[in-house]
Amino acid sequence: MSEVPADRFYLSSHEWAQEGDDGVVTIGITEFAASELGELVYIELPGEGEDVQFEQQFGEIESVKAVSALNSPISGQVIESNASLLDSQEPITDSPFDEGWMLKIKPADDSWKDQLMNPADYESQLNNS
Amino acid sequence: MILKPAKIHLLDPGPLDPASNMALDEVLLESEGWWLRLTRWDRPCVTLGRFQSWPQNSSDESFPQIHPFISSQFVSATHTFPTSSSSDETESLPAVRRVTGGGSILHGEDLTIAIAGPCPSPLFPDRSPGKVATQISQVLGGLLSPGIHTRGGEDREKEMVDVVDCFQRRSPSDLVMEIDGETVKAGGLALAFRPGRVLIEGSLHRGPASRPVEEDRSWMELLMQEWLGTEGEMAEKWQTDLEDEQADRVFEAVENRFGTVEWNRR
Repeated sequence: MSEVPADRFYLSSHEWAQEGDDGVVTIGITEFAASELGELVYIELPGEGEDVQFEQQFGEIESVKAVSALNSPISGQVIESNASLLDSQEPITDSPFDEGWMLKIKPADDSWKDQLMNPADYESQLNNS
Repeated sequence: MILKPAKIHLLDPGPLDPASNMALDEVLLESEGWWLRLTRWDRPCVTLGRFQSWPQNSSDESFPQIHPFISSQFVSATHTFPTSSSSDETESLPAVRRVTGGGSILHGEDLTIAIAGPCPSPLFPDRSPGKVATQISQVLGGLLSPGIHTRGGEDREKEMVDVVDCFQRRSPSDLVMEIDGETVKAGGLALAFRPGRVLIEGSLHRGPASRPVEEDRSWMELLMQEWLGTEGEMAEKWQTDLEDEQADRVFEAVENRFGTVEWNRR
């Protein structure tokens, strides 16, 4: 059973979002998504200052000859991108909820949580998939 | 959510230039419904994986290997990537970047196909790329000549990611055959996932002899029947003309991406 931390929110396409004390939201992909994708070989992420939109593609990740879209769980502006992932994608697999974070985003509005699943709902989705 | 493929569109628009071929595959990835496409080329060319680096020079192992299934006549001309924007492409093979992953593939005498459809669906119980690729490979292997089978075994794609030529890499989903005691790759798959959709591009080497297009179409119809079982309905006729909207989107994608230096020479 994949881990589903209780301190963040989820998109049905297996991305997570966690709010920091400063209101900045960190996003990444879940342990389930990372395990399904398999060994990762490339990732492309937006740079600082770029805008991302809810449920729209913000990057791409390649594994086992497959390129998958990464969808943003939140609308806002990128204030930091995890550049270390460009050199090594292993943190995404080994530590998807911590060192494998992808973007830090300044939310476009305060209602972003309303559009996402809570941990219990996401866990239910995993159990039913 | 379970989606049932109600109808499979069969598409054979005839030989297209490399950029238009790759643009059309992306249009199908973003279209609705299921599509099975026969991809034909108006010239020999090389396609590059989505994140492959553009080869830095034209005289080393970065070239795709000449595959044993490919005739010597086919590669008798200069067999190089263009190395700068000023290169004379009449003396080198044109190259275009795919939206799918994997390594570079030499096209011209291979059978190139594309399948696009909803995901997840009964055909794709989950979106694990390795499982999807192996599933498709097993269906293809069952339809190809006796002796061709899915490689299986250990996945070595990551450790071979710097090997340029797709046909020199090793993946469990490869189609392989034994030639003179050696295991030779006869076919490979590459995939792209977008929200709710998947695109599978396949290249299969079945020998240098040219075949009538009707034979390829029949073979692909068998592929679909085998894959779908009794669940799906296949279009009765092959569509040879793109719909106006599709043609417009292909043109736009070529102009903005697949026909540009920025897209192809990252």
